[in-house]
Amino acid sequence: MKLAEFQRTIKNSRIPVVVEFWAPWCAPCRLMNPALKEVSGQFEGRVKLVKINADESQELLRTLKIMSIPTMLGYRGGELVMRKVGGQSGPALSKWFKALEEGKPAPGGLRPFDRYLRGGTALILAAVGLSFGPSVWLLVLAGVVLFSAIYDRCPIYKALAPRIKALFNRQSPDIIK
Amino acid sequence: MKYMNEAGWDRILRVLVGIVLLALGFGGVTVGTLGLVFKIIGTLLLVTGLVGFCPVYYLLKFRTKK
Repeated sequence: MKLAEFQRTIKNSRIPVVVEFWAPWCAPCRLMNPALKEVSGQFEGRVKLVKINADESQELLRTLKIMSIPTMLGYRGGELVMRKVGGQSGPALSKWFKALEEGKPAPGGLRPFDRYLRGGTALILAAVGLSFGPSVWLLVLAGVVLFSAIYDRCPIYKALAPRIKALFNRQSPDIIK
Repeated sequence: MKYMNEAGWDRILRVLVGIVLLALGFGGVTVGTLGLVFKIIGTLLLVTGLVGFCPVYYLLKFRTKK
């Protein structure tokens, strides 16, 4: 898809638009595809899904700063309001579509204010830690705070988080279920 | 986020004061009991500022976030 065609599609849509960047060779895209089809079917007429083959749309990738796939962008009123990188489960996709439809913030995502506050704090802590000593505790604290600012974009965390959650779910007592 | 009860200015203030207290505590400027108190209060202020939730506000049913 060309940039002009993409912009026309986004601006002319009266309903929110979800844009998914995928590629035929991308395993997470293939895994997510059935859930995405099902969820977009549930939101038929309320949220529009546009699938873009990343291999054939290099200009768009550069313009929209798409670094990895699958990446989903959420547009409302022609404005980019949500961005999600990596494969998502069916329930997560459903929450995402619902939030976009209702004009709410992206579920589970950090707001830019939180991200900048945490990132800035980590930098200041690191600078203070280096100038005093250096202080190992302050540097460790800076590392933890920095991770909390970027964890939802960290590929290692994203790969490990579902497995850790599954581990806890398996061990949870029946009473909770 | 529903759980947050601190306004933006409140969070920034907590983070800044927390960093100063931690710097004083870990930097060796204050030692002994005062240093320990600075470290604990600094950590609490930093965490509550970064998370945006203050348990004391919650208990007192007070909030700076409108």
